[in-house]
Amino acid sequence: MNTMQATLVGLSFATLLGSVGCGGLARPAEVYRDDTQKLLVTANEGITNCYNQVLKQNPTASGSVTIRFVVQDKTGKLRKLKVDSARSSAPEAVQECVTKYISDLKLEPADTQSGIAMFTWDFSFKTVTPPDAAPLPPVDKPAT
Amino acid sequence: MHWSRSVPLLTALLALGAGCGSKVVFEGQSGLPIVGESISKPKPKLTVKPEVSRVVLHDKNIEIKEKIQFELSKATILSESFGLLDEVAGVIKAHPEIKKLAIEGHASSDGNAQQNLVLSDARAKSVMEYLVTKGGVDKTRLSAEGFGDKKPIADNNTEEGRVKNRRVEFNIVEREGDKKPDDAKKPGDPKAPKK
Repeated sequence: MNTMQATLVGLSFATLLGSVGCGGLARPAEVYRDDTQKLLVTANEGITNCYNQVLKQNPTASGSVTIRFVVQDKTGKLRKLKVDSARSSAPEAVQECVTKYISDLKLEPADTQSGIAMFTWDFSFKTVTPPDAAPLPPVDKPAT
Repeated sequence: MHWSRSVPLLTALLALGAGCGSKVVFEGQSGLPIVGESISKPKPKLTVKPEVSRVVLHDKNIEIKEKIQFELSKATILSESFGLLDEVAGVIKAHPEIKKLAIEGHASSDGNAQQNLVLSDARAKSVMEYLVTKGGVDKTRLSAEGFGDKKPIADNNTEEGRVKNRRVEFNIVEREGDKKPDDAKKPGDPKAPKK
């Protein structure tokens, strides 16, 4: 067996080990962050719908929500979600929109390392005029 | 096995085991933008009409059309709700026939039940404090109590329901002309009204 063959055998053996025990993907921090962010973005539609419901109750609800959480190693599940109230300015109902819709997310493939993460959502709204609100008619100036 | 053969294998194993059990700390670089849609209220027409009140007096309660906003997990009323509470105070003062008004704080089932009870009670008392100190309402006409999540009015399994359940109510306990329970005295009671 020459050196090349030995390397191939070694890598094959390592791959086999990787499928069991704690072997697997170990992302660098930047990749871990970017993959987690891509995962969080998948919840945006649900969060937006939830936020729109809050806006019906509180038409000026806005601000930021910062959540700290752990991406669990081996499972990829988001755990220990906690609102960082010192960094969050949005009303409680808006904060709940985020925690509710990201709590079921799962990073795939999972990492061999736990990810200690902090992400912020910025909530803003655009004002929509209902279709039945007709524009104001022009005001006639009084005769002078 | 010759060392030159074992080195690649050991290298691969070390690479695989490097991340096992360790932690990576990271932070989102920028805020994730969420843009909602807020329905604007129709602009008033040229003929001046009184604005639709956010506070409506009913037989049994004073209904508020907006939620009173508090700081997260605190009983501090946010300034954006001062106007609403000023209107509530105005209604109470304009109706002296309301002798007793119970301010009730309620929570959704989210979180710890005991903490919800304490917080809803503190919020009810905070509202009462505002109505007395800023709104000029006679304190003897008011009472405040929190009920936590014991009196839901909507489904706690939905976000919409939980939003409805987090509320402050103003319930009229006694109006002028109402019969008090102790008005119906026993015949031998010297305090009973004479016929």
